[in-house]
Amino acid sequence: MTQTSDLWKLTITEAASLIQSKQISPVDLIKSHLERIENTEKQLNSFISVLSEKSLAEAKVAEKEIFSGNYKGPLHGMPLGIKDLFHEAETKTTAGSKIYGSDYSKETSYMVGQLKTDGAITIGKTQMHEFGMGATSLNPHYGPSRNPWDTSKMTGGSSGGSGSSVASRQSKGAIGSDTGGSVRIPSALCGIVGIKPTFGMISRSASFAMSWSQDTPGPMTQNVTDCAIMLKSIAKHDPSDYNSAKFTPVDYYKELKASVDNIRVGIPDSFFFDIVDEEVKKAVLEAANVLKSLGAEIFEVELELIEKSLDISTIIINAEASEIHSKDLENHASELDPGSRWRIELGNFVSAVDYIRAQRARSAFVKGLNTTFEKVDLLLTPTIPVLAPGLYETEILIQGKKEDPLPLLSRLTRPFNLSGHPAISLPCGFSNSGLPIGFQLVAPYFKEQRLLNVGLSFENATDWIKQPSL
Amino acid sequence: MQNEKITPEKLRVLAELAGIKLTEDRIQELLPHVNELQSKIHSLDDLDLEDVEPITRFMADQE
Repeated sequence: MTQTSDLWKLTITEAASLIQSKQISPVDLIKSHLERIENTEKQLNSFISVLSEKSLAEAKVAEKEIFSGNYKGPLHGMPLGIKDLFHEAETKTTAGSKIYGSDYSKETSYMVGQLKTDGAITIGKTQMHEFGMGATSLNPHYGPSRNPWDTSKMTGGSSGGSGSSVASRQSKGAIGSDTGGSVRIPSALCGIVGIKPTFGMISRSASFAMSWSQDTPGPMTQNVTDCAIMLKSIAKHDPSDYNSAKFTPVDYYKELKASVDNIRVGIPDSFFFDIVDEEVKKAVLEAANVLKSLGAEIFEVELELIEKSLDISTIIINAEASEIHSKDLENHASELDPGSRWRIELGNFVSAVDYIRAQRARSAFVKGLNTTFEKVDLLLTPTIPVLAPGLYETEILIQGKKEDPLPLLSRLTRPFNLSGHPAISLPCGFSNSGLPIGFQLVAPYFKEQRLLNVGLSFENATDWIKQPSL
Repeated sequence: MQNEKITPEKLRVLAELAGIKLTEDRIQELLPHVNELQSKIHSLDDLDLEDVEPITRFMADQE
């Protein structure tokens, strides 16, 4: 039997089995993770706040429920990290900023509420790039989150703390939010699984927005099965979120089965492989070969307007972020991260006509992508074209050319925020220097089950789910 | 709008119209970012968007 002190190493699925059979209690589990946090947090900085007392109190409640026969399912008693832009009553929510979080939140976001209904326990609010406005998680107020595979490297962001907490097993899973890749980027750089579901599938109520038309919360986990468990809990229509989609709920966990047969996978060669580290390219193409060996058909595809998608996305996000944070700029300009400040200021110079034109171009891009999905079932790309950069690295060598790594971090993920299609990042290898590499699968709207099933097949056929030595 | 470079003078006017206060130093700091954004905006000028309606409320309902 697993030692109580080692419970932090288990996946959600493994720990749930022990909890359901009453071999361990949620209190043991939370204590083990709190100890893990205590031993590693100075090196990682995954959390803005660790909820030691609250999580232990909730674990005692969960223990009573389970021992009295009221087991709620695989999330019951599971310690999760929640990105610090989702409100949860009796916790402080900063959005990675010094402007917010002086008082306790009075409400709980619908999405966090769903996890709690299923028995999950928030062990901490995770570190993030201020307001989610960047892909590095370098935060001048709370410090950078650090990559568990090499603490001199970035986790990526903006959900950096969620990535490091899951990869280091400080938490069993975490929630991130993804406006330009903020779930998938840290998932790829930290060697874990992260899914950005279809836009509108997960409620954003009672959370800090960055771009109303692109913000998408998503789970980050050790493996695909845990991802299915978390997604099942939170993928529900919420009438209080204006952009919440209406769809038939799916039990992604129950429906999970390793399956690749006859799946048509499109690889968009241009753009996605134009600027890419050789080790990343090799690992991602090898992932495609694995899927082929499992029964997938591989095609080369071209995506219409893909080159323009980044410009379209920038115009829309900047305009929306400026309106969302206009009061912050007016009242707290000097307290903002300089990077957030110029971004908020910048959006003021997008005219209404510019914004509408960008939304027309977006419409054309979405139409083209939907046409591609008539020919293929999935797209396969690298998640990120580079390995985890050093924390403050401003130049890296790719294909013999010096590149600024920062714009590259979100280059391959942003197009699918613009289109709203679901996308998952899966671990597919390690560099010679021991850094994780991830690849991205993208599906038509509401085909998350396909992403998970193909992801599980890939996971079963490979051995890339590993734990850092930290 | 033609694709012409934004000057400090023009940025001052645009900031005033947008209702944001910018110091002279801030104008100089923002100027290259504003011009970069303008070039992204103008990169869409050559798209054929005839008969393409904007996404004004993005919604991917299944039902």
